[in-house]
Amino acid sequence: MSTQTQTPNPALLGKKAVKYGFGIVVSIWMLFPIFWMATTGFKRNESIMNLPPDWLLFDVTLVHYRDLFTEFGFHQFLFNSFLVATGAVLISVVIGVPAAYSLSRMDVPREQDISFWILSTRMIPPLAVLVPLFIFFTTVGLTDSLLGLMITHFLITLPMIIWIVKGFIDELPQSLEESAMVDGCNRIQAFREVVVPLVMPGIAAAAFIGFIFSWNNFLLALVLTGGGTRTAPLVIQSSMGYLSIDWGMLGAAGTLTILPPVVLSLLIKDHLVEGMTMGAVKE
Amino acid sequence: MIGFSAVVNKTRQGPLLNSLDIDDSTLRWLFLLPSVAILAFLSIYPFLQGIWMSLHQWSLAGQGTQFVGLTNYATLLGESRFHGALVNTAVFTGVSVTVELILGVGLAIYLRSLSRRWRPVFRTIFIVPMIVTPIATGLMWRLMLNGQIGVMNYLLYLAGLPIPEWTSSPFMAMFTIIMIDVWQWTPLVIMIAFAGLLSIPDTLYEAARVDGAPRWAIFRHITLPGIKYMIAIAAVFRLMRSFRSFDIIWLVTQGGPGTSTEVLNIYLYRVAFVNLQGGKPPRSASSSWSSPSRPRWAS
Repeated sequence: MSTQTQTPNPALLGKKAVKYGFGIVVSIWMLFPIFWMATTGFKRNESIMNLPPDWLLFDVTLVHYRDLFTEFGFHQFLFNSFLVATGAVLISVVIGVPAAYSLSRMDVPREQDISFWILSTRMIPPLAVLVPLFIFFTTVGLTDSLLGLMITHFLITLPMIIWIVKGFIDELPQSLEESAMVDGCNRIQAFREVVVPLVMPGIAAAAFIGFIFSWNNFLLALVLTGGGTRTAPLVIQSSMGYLSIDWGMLGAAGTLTILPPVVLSLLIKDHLVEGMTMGAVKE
Repeated sequence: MIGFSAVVNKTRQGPLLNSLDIDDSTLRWLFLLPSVAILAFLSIYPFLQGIWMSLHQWSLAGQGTQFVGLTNYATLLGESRFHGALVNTAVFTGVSVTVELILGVGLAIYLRSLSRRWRPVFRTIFIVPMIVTPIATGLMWRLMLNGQIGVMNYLLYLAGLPIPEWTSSPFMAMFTIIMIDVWQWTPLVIMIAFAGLLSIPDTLYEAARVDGAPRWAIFRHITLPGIKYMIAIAAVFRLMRSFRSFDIIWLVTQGGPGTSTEVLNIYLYRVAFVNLQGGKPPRSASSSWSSPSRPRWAS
């Protein structure tokens, strides 16, 4: 085991070089598109058009970011994305955590069926529900509104939060609440004072993952919003249709759009896979 | 007023929470009700409405509705474009999920073979693509594959390889969207398979090595059985999401050229929202970016 640092065996070293070289090549494959988009956002237009491409050394400019906000009002669309995702996640947490507790701890008849049904709503192809929902929203005047979009995003965030949090509560020893209840707490107090604080890390992870999925969603916003209520991914899409594409500005917009999910996912990377598979995988 | 003051007194004794005495059989439903109600509204109601609509002659713009039985289904099944979409979906899903599973399991095994020091570093890097907003993924690849400024084309040119028309031939367009899907979602398979690999005890590998088992035998008899459950989970999750793919395909090819990358979701979206709503035919995507104009360095 400790031979790692000592033996300068050339054959072994060569093998190691090949091994880590392979890892670096794969990493470049994974990261290069992001790097390329992000740097494009900081390049002058002439530099974007340069051949051979400017890999690393180029004049950094913030002009695309400036234009994005001043001419394009991109902050509006970022804010829309943020509002929809945050609202959907917060409400989902408030109503989803008690539901998770109920499914995990209380004697719900046909609990298996209800749990699976909740999971199954996450598997529905959005387009299958979008036409009827679109008609409903048209009748009640919720199309082109962030509230309407937020409501449909419950379909993304709520099942996810219920399932992830349920997984965390399942792992908590039941004796903790029982002793709290022996000490005179009622069920609601035991839930609020004992269970919720203890599964807080799980709730946070679930909330972040819900936020990422809601933020990244495109199709629901494509159908249900327009004009000033568009979300950030939608604006990127609609700016790409023209013959001459402003790559610098799009690079900047894309970079800003991927920033929140990437930062959040790095914060919770240990729970990420568990969350993305709704607890089916435990690391 | 006695009843009222009793209530006031009771709430004064402490937070409302302490005086609320709901028995478990009520509480379990109170806890569940809001979630179930919202999800039912968002899934069961549209599902039933969809069935109802499928049995009626109906359009987003029109007023009257008329019961037509199974005619709509017959029309749909008779439409060659629908058949095309089915085939495209099968090809796209089948190829991309297969490639992702093979690559993902391979890279997970690679991750496991790394030292404890470097494993978290590479693992973090390998996570990143699956987090990236799919629309941004489409944007990145369009930037890199662009006929004029695409860096991928330049690299292929440097390597002396032919530069493909990424999205203007039906075969290459399908290849391109599969390649992008593989970039975005192989990480998910890596992470799931890696979680499975970690649960295989080291002692099994040590024992196999002591016995002098060849590599492929170790893989076949220890690794593969150890993670087959995880591979199944990964396959199910990828299949589920792959069937719902929309964003990347919409941004990169919009189903084109023609209908060669029109998967079911794109087809449905076009029928439901593009054709009926505005009446405007969708912009041909391939003409808008990788037009057959030759790259500048290749002329």
